[in-house]
Amino acid sequence: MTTNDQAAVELEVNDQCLKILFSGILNIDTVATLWEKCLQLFTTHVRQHLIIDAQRISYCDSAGVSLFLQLKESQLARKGQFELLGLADKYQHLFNLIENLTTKPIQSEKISLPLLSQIGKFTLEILTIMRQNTLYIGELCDELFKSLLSPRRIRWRDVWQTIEIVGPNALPIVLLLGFLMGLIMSFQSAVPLQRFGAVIYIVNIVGISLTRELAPLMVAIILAGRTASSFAAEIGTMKVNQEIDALSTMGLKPLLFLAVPRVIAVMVMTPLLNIFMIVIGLIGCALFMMGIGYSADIFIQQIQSAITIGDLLGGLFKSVIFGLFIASIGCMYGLRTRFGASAVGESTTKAVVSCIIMLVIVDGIFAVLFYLLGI
Amino acid sequence: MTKPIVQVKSLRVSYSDRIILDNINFTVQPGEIFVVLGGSGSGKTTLLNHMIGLYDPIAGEIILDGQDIVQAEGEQRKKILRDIGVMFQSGALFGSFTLLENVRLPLEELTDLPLTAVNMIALNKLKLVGLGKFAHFMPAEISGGMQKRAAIARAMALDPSILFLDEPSAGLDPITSANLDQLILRLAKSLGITFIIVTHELPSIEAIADRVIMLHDGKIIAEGDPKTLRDLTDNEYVRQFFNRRAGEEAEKNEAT
Repeated sequence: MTTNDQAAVELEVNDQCLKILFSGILNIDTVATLWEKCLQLFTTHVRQHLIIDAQRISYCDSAGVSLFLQLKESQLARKGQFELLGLADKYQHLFNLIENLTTKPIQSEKISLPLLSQIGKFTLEILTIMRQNTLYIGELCDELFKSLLSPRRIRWRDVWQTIEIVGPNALPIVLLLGFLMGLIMSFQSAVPLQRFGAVIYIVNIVGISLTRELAPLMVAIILAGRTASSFAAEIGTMKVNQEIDALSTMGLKPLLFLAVPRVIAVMVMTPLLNIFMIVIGLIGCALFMMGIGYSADIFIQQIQSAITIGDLLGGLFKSVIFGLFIASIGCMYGLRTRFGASAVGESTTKAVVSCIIMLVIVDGIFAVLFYLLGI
Repeated sequence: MTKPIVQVKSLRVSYSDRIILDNINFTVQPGEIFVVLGGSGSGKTTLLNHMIGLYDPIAGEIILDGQDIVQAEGEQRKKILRDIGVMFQSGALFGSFTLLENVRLPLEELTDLPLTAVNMIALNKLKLVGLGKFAHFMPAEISGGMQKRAAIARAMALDPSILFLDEPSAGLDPITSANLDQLILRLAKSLGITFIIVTHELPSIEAIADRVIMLHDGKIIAEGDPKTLRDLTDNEYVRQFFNRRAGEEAEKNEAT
C-alpha cells in the first residue's frame, strides 16, 4: 500500500436520511479500514433513506463495490431505501455486473434425520463395513491358499523386496527396543525382588514376559507403525494414480498381485524379528545380572529352567498371526483408498489405528486360548 | 457391413438417484478410430470405465468382440480383458517399475512366454511408440507425453484388438499431442487395432477420428464423422462445442 492510497468517509444525517460521502481510493486496503466503520455508522444511524455519494471517489474496485452492496443489502433488509449517487460510469458498470451476479450460494442440503433413523443409518454403515471386511478376509484367504498350493502364482520378486523392507531395515529399531526393554525390566523388577531375596527370578520374569507377550507385541507395534502404514500409503497412491484400475483391466487381481506377496513377506519376517528381540532382550537382562554379580553360567541355567519350548513356540505362533493381520489391514486400507491426496493420509491413519486395536483384541483372545489350552 | 467389434446396447448407469448415462447405444467397426466426445461431466469417462469392466452398469450390454463383459465372470472375463488394452488419463504406469518392466508385466503374468521372448516383445512395443532408448528409465524420469506413450505400449503388450485411450492429449502441448495423434493413426493403420478414444480435444479429433459420438448430460446427442458433425449439425450444443467462438458468445449472453 502506498501512502497515496487513502479513503475517507463523511456523514450527513437528518431525520429521514443518512448520507455517506466517500472520497479517495477504494481498494482492498482502504476498504479494510473503512468496512467496520461504515457498518457501525449504518447501525447507529437508522434512517429510512440511505444515500451513498460516490462522486469524489477517484478509484473503486470490487472491494469498494462489495462495501456498497453490503450497505445496500443491510438497508434493504431493514426495509429502507437505498440510493447510490455519482458513481463514475465504469465503476457503475462493475457495480451492476456484481449486483446481477449476487445470487445466493446454494447451501448443500443437510437433512437432519430423527434419532431413530440416525441409529439405523449408523448401524447399516457398520454392517456394510463388516460385510466388506469379511469379504476381504475371505478373498485374501482364498488367494493365499491358492497361492500356497501353486507357488508359481506368487510374485517372488515382490516378496523378496518386501522382506528386505520389513525385516533387515526394521532390525536396528527392534534390537534397540529389545535391548532396552530387557535392561529396564530387569532393573525395575530388581527392587521389589530384592526385598524377598529372590533377585535370581528376574531372569524368569524377563524371559517369560519377553517370549510369551512383550516380544510379539512390540514387534507387531513396530511393524504396525512402519509397515502397515507404508503398505496403505503405497497401495493408496497406486489407487489414486489409477494403477490399481490398470491392473484390473489387465485381468490381474490386485489382491493376488499386491496383497499376497506383502502378507507372505510379513508373515515370514515377524517370527524372525521376534526371535531377534527375545535374544537381544535376554542379553540386556544378562548384562544386568552380571552387573549385580551373577555369573553367565547361572544366568543360562536359570533361563533354561524358566522358559519352556511351549512359551517360545506360542509366542512365535502369535507373532505370525499378528503379521498376517498387520499386512492384511495395511493392504486393505490401501486398496480401499478413495480419490484425492487427502485420501491416502486417511487410509494410512486408519491402517495404523486399526492395526493397534486389532493387536490388543487378538492378543486378548490368545491369552484366553493359551490359558484354556494350558500353554 | 462387417460384424461390429464393439456393441453397446441400452446402457444405463446411475449413482443413487442421479442418472449418469441413459440409454447409450452405439457400435464400432473393426479397425475404426472411434471417438467419444463430450464436455466435462458429460459421462464420457464413466462410459469408458464401464466398457473396460471396472464397474457394472444398472442395465444394458457391452459386447466386446462378441462377448458381453457385463455378464462375463472368471476365466471368460479374463479372456475379454486380455483382448483389450487401456491407457488411463494419467498413464497409470507402475511407479516402482522401469518402462520395460511395466510393459513386461502383462506378458509375464498372463502368458507362458520364456523370459527372453518377454523381454524382446516388451522392448519392441517400446520401440514402436518411440521409447526404445528409455526402456530402463523409471516413469518419474520421463515427460508426461512419454509416459502416455509408454502407457500405450503397455496397453498393447498382449496385442489387443481394442485399445481404449482416456484423454490421450490432456495436459500435453499441441506439438506433443499431435505426435501422439500420429502414433495412434500409425498403429491403427499398420496393426489394424480398433481405437476407442475418450476426449474433449478438438484438433486431435479432426485429425484422427473416423467416427464420433457426442455425449451431453449422459445422452448421445450426435453421431457421425467429425466433418459432418461440425458442418451439418442442427444441435445447438454440438455447434457450440465445435465452434468455440459461438460458445464464448453464448457465455457472454448468459452473463449479461
